[in-house]
Parts: sequence; structure tokens; C-alpha cells
Amino acid sequence: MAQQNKVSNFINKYAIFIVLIVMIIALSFLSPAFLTVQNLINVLITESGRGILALGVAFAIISRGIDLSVGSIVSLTSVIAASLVQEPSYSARIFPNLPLLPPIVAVLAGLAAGALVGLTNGALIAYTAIPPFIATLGSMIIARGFALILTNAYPVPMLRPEFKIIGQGSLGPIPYVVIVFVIVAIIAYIILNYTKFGKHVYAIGGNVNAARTSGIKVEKNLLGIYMVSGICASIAGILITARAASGIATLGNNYELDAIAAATIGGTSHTGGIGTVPGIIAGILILGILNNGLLLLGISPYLQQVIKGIIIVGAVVFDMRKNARQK
Amino acid sequence: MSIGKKLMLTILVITFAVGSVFAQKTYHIGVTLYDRDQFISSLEQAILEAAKKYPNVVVDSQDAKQDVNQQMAQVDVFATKKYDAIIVNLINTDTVETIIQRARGIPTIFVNRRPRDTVIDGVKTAYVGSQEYDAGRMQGEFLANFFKGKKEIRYVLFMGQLGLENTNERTRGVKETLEKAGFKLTKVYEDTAEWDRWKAMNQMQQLLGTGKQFDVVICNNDEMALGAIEAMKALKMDLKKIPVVGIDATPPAKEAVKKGEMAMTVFQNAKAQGAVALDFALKAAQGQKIEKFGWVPFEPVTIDNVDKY
Repeated sequence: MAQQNKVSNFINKYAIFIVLIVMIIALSFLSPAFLTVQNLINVLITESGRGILALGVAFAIISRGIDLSVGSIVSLTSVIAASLVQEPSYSARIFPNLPLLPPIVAVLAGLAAGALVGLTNGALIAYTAIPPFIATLGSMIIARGFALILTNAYPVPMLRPEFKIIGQGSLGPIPYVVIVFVIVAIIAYIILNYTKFGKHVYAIGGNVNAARTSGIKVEKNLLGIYMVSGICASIAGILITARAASGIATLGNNYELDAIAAATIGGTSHTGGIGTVPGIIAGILILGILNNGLLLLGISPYLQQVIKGIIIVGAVVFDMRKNARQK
Repeated sequence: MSIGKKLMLTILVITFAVGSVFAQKTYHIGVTLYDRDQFISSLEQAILEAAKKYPNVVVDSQDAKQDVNQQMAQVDVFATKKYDAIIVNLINTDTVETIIQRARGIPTIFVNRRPRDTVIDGVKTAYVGSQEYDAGRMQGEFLANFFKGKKEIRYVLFMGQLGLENTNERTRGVKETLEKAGFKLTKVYEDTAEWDRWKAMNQMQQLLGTGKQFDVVICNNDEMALGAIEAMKALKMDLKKIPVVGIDATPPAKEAVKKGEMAMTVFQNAKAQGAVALDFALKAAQGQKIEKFGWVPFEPVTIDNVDKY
């Protein structure tokens, strides 16, 4: 009996990683092209943007909130950063008289945009007490509106090579975008596990009243949580823009849903207080490998959506059962 | 067995073996589409149909749902699977360099959305599509004939999404053709309705509300033309006297042409674009010479020939 409990506890704890490993093994047999270094790097390149997005959104979900604005922050960042690094020789630049700026300016401007949207989200949630769903739904629409206003819905093309290198260059065999993804994941891990802010995120998600009584400044922490989410979205926006070599106002459509799905599959609980960085990484890899695997096998993208949906719902059902049992 | 016979047999066996290896070489062609709208779906069908003619061609067709990240991932996968050629219907023409880089040397044929000419080399890369300018030119030629004897044309123009090649070229084509035919063009209204029927209808209603007079409604596509027609019909305007012209020859537009509500439209041959794209992809995969561009002509559609389409 105790033995059985141990086994089921083990499965519960590591279910998500078991699923990931089973998928990897199954796909290695089904498609010889799957388990090649190049293909796995491709998966990481493709998922790095959404992975960073998921890590940021997870902060909001762990605190028992949600951030729907991240997809729009990707597009806003995309057009802002791109508009600052267009080739001076290109006649239809967004800012025709802009001097030649170092690419870091574009990166910082993009990050500032994400931080600002995040700060606004946090302030609305902390000080007006409107639900995170509504606050971030509003800023999702507004941010995309700004992206369209800035560009008139035109793409922002002809980016300078010093900027594009962020998305297209690599250190040895490992692309910069993957390196950035890994660094962001490590930082997120450190913040959530080893800092006061991280502990507060869990505490607020677990029980906001208890957190308040124990002296945690909930409002200030909410500002921080949504800023983290916004900045992560901006990082993703910069990476994808540099890779696509164009600022695109419609970039990131529905990415918020992919990010939320990844975090959810990775065991981040929408009832708050639960979620780990390794779990989220596993979640994003499962979605990425699913996408890659079904493409390799040549399976219809529509069926892929059905499977994705089933996995998300299944993950939550499993998650709730697990948490109920623990209580 | 004499040596001569043995030799003959050996040669025969080798010939068969080599021959069967060549016969069995299967060509895998990956297709990534920007999305599946009506036009692109028939283009896709044409690619699949054309591939059926060859027993040794396998097509793997995917759509990227307007997500550039997904389109790049699809090209990655085609390259990983070492396909022999890739057909790309670009979501965003600026991503073309990344796409070519990700294809890692596999021949890449672009279709319907035209990348910068500088990336087209006619060996590993080519473009298959229609000359957008010609669609506008055909509208212009039709209208020049319609308004024969007039000096001035007061026009209403609904444009597609600004900044796109087809919007610019179609607009330039119709204007230049009319000007060359000696007409003075006077702008009554000119704006984008973003290819959208509903937007064009609303804008048209507002324009009609001002009571301004005009001779013609030129639209960069059929959807907007149909929107304008709806608004004009509501006011019982005579569509025979004020022609509305579109581009695409979609099924509802063809109906409107039959009923005499739309004066003309221009047929963009999705089937031919798909077939030519597959032909280019296959040739490039076999290392044969291809052209840099495969142009598929537009065709004007009026009440006289609409039944053919």
C-alpha cells in the first residue's frame, strides 16, 4: 500500500516530465528526422519566443491572476523596436529623420514599452480592484491599437543587420534566441525560488488575505508581477522581430493563449500559488514537440489543434485532481 | 555461358538496377501557405492536382495561419526532412531572407506573394504569380472603352491594404492606363477599405450621403466592389451607367457580373499559379534550369465571357 502510494506520488509529481519523455521516445521511433541536433535546435528556436512569454505569464497565473496582453505586447514591441533600426537608405521609414541609433536603443525602447504596459496592468489590478482578466483584456486591445496606429498596419521592413543578428546569429551551433530563452528561464527560476519577491508571488496566489496579514505589500508586488510579464513579452517580441527581419503589427496574435496553455500544461495552477519553472519549460516543450512532431509526420494542422486542446484540458483536469488529493 | 553472354547479362542487370533506382526516386515537396482563404485553397488544390500527374511526387501541404513564426518552423521541418523542394506562399515578404536561410539550400519557389527581386536567382529560388499591374491595366482598358468620347472621369477608388505590392500596382495600373488613353482623372473619393466588403459598403454609404457625383467606382478587389454595389443598390442607382469594377472573379462577383451589377472583374488564375509553382519546384528539385519568374496572366471577365469562368 505504501509502495503504491509512493509510486502514484512519484507519477503525480513528475507526470509532465514523463509525458515529455514518452513523446520524445515515441517520435524518435515514428520519425527518423526527429532526434537530430538540428531538428531539436529548430524546436527550441521556434518555441523560444513563446517560452519566454509563458514564463512571464506564469508569474501572473501563480499570483492567481492572468495576463492576456502579452500577445499584443509582442506586436507593440515589434513595431517600436523595428521602427528604430530601419535602414537609413529606406525611403518609407516610420521616423524618416531618425539618426543611426545603436540597436541597444531599440531593444531598450521595446523593453520599456512592455514594462509600461505591464505597470499599467499591475496598477489597474492593484488599485482599482478590477479582475486581472478584464484589466489585461483592455490593455491587450489598446496595445495592439497603438501598434496599428504607429505603423498604419504597414509592416516595418528593412531592419539593419546589427539588429537582425539578435534573431539570426548564433554562438557556435546554438542560436542567440535559444541562449536568451535559457537565460530568462534561469533568472525566472532564481526569482521564484530564491528571492523575497518570488516567495511573495506564491503567497499572494495561495491566499491573498493571509499574505496581507503577514505583512506582504500586495499592491507593490502586483505591479512587479505584471511588469515581469510585460518585460518577458517584450523580450519575446524583440527576438521574433529580429528573426523575421520585420516589425509586424499583427505579430503575436493569440500568442497569449499559447503561453497560458504552456504554463497550464506545465502544472501552473489557475487556483494560484502553484507553478515551477521546470514545469513550464516542460509545458512549452510539449507544445513545441507536438507541433514539430505532427509536422514531421505530415499530420493535418487542424487535427493538431484538436490534440492541443485535449492536452490542455487534460492537464488541468489532472492538475485539479492532484491538488485535491494533496489537500 | 560465353563471356560475351555473361557480359550482356551483367550489363542488362546493371541497366535495370540503375533504371529502377532512377524510377523510384521520389520527390518530396513541402508547401507552406499564409492561410487558407478561398483563393489560396484553390491554389493549393491546383498544386495537389498537378502533383498527381507524377507518380513519384509527394506533396506535404501546411498552412501557417498568418503566423510568421509558424511559417519559419514549417520550413525548418521541410529542411530537416530533406525535402527536394519547397513552395512558399509568404505571410510577410520581409521574412524572405530568413526563409531562404532556413531552407538550407533546398530550392524554394515563392508563389502569389512576391518577395524582393534581389533574392530571386532563377536557380534555387523563383517567383510564380501574376503581374499585379496587369489587373489594374485591364480595368483601365475596359473603362477606357466604356467611357469612349468622354474627356474627364470622376472616380471613386477603394484600395486594398496600404503598402502592399498588389494594392500599389493595381492602383497604378488602372490610373496610368486611363491617363495614357487620354482621360483626365478627377478624384472624388480615394481611400483604403482594406479588401473588406463591409468597410467599403460603409464608406460608400457615407460618400453617397454627401451627394457628390461620380462616374465610376474602381476597386482593388471584388469584395470591396460588392460592398460598394450594395450601398449603391440601396439608393437604386443605375449600375449600368456608373460601372463598378473589381478584381479576383470570386463566385459572388461572377454572379454580380451575370446580373449586370458589376461591370467587370479580373480573373486571377489560382489553378495556373499552383500548377506552374509545382512545375518550377519539381524542375528545381531535379536540378533543371528554371526561370526567375513564372508569370501567369490575368484575364478580364465581363458579362460576355463570364460563363467561361
